[in-house]
Amino acid sequence: MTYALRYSTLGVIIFALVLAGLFLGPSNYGFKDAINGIFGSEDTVVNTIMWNIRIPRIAVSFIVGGCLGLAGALIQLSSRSPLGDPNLFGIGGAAAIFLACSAAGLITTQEPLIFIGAIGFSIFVSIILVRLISERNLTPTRLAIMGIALGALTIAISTAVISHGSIFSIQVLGLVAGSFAYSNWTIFYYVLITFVICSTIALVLSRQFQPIILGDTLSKSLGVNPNRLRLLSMILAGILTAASVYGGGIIGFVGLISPHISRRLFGNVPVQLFIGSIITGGILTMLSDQFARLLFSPTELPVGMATTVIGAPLMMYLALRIR
Amino acid sequence: MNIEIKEISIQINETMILDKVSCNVSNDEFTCLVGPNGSGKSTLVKSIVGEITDYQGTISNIDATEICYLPQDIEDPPFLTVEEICKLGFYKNSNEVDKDVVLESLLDTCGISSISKSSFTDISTGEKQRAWLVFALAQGKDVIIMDEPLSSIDSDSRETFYSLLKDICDMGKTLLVITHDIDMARKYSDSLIVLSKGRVSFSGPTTELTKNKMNKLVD
Repeated sequence: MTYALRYSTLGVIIFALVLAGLFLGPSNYGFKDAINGIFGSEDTVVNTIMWNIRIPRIAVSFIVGGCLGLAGALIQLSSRSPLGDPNLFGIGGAAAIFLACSAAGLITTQEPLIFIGAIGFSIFVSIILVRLISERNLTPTRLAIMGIALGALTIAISTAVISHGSIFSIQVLGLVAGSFAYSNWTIFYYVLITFVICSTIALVLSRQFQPIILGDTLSKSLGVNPNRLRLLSMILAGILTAASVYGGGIIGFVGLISPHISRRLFGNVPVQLFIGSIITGGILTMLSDQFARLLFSPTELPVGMATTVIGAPLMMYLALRIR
Repeated sequence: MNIEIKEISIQINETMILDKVSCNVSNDEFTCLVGPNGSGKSTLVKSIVGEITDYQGTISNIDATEICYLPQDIEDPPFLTVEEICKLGFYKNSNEVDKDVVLESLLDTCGISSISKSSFTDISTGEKQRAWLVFALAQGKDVIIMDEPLSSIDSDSRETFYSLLKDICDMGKTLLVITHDIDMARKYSDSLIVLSKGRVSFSGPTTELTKNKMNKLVD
């Protein structure tokens, strides 16, 4: 299969998922009504459902998935660990802690400071991970164990904050289990702008990221300073992950799986890997959200559950293959 | 580019790791650096490539950017195929115009064309070493320095690997290889440097060193 064909196949899948997101749901309309709702100018119920609920939800889920896919690719590259995942390694959990504190009223700020605060918390964990790699010279496997411990810790803290604040609404559950039920255009613009900035930087610098995978000694012998690039790539991953948590809560495994699928489809050259991870991340998240939304409709599942059902077996398979 | 090492001394915590070491690595030659464990081989090489800078004495004619250094026990990079790793060797080498053609011929020279699409983690230790050699050659540098390339490989693969090194040297490269394998070093190298307890006990053409003398030096 040529690359063009592969990209078109993914395009068709995206299109199919967009259709599912638009036309399927608890309030079912005829095709004609739905089309009128989307393209018509009258202020009808269908029009509101389409433009204020379904369309932003599709858009947010895709872009959040793209953020996670790219963040996963960046983390796997700089940690040299096939188990690299932004939420498994606690980067997303850190953002969730801040967002939970803000939801529980422990931190009182306004937008966009809430968004910026979440990014700050994620970057903090990114920097801890970078220091572990650069200074303690941890092997990829040991780093993965440390990362998973950090991840568990951050989730525990966010859950504690949520319990403390007695704010056990479904909206807050969505923060630690993942949900796109409350997507709106404001969220979409925040995440989109962050995604555009970070992915542009990553793609422009992609060639420079390449040698890091060889390890420190050999990248230095190629004239590359691995520490600086690793810091940059982990900070980018931190920002992207925080944006994803802001958009959809903690959605596990998308950052882990997307780069692996992308490698199979498009190879290891960073530009291709990044673009492929963004697209596969977007597709996986959209797909999982449609499952979460439609499987027991009108009751919704957390989207993180759907991604975990796909991701957990894959992670076990990877762990078996790692030497 | 001859590398002239003059009276290099390195002391770590009161222990002399290298004690006034002087030797030469001559241009276009295959030089083996031998000696028992703890004799200071790796330290000497790290000083040459610039990883260690805290030494007394001088190392002349060093342009670290003209040296490709392959350290001991390189950790396998994940995800990549043999070919992708070898290709990374061209990363800073802007001289090669047709990289794909050069890469193909290098893979062929080193005898790993048939496994170029395999995942790097799936191939044998000897094959990995050949892949690293292609990676080094792709950099287009004049000097290649390897630390213990074949510590865990059977003797047949060892023999072919050393004859490959010899061929590469004949292509106009300067090679400095740290090894435990005295037989191979005697058979294939042009020059030998023997270290023991941080001092040079022999440095010169391999032909000048008889087997008996060598065994005595290394023991």
